[in-house]
Amino acid sequence: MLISDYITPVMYLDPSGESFIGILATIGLGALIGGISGFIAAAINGDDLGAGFLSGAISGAIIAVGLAISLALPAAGGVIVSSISGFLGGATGDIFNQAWNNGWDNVDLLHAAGVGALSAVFTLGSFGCLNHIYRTTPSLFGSITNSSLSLFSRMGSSLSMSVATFYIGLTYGTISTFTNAIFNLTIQDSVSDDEASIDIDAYC
Amino acid sequence: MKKLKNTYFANHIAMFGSIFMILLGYLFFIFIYFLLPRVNWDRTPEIGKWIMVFMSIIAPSLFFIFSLKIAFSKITIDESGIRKSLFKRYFKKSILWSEVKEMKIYNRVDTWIFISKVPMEGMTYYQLLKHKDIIQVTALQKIRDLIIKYSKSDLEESNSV
Repeated sequence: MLISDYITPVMYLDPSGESFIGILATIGLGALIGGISGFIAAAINGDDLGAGFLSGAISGAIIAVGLAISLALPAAGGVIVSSISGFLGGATGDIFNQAWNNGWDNVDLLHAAGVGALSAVFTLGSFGCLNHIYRTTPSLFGSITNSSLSLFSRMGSSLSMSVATFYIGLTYGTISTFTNAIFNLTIQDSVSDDEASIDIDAYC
Repeated sequence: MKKLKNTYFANHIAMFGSIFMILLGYLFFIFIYFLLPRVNWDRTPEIGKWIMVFMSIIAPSLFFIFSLKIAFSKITIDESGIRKSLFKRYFKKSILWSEVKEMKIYNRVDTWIFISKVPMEGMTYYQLLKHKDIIQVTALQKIRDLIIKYSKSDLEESNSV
């Protein structure tokens, strides 16, 4: 009996096992979109643009890796990995953002923890959404892993993970501005109402 | 004659994930505790310190320990069949080629081969992962070559989908 007699390919086969390239491309896209999102949020808030881009890119890259890994794991593992990577990605990005804007001596770690916690919640939500998308539309990812296509074609096709990538980027942008707005309104007394309202406008 | 390597990690993404998590967490803690000016840590409230320690040290460490089985199990493929175990001692699982009922290729971030003693029709990805009579292995080219070689079958014929 041939293996092909009882093999039932669910999707495309990746003979070389190089689909990781697609993941790396998505990580890059996650960083890029996270960076652009952070850049826009910083521009709207009047913060340092470089800090916004850097912190967004760091968060986007870490969260993208965490999400990619979590989707390949059993559900419990996916929940843990997406939560931890979401927290660490959000907190790291916020630390760099604070350090760039306020100096390395003025980093509020509790603020970073708060941003990380919200980031973890959103990343967990992303995991849930993507997990559902994976289960219901498996063909979405075939063009990334089909190695009969050219490398550039496959990398381009990783844009078909736009659901994931845009979700990461938008998630970070939302988290960043929303969290800042909340923290500015509730914790930092020195922040004026005007500044807080600018943050909320940016979130909207 | 060079001996053919026939043992591989069964799940390289889980291995990468496990190592990534613990490295990321520990590096994050080193960053905030040792590299950032200490004044930042000293003025952080206790609750903030505990959150940071839990998320960067405790949680990744627990995940690393509990993911050992998935992340660091190895598979061995030979003439008789395919075997999977952790450190050659724990969580042993084996399927002879003659016992194989079905082999399914599944795409989930990466490409996986599920080798089963039971029909897999209708099973979800998570059910496949958990089933005691199913072995999951990453679909690396070398592993596929070994499966083709030892099962004396032509896997390429299934590539037309």
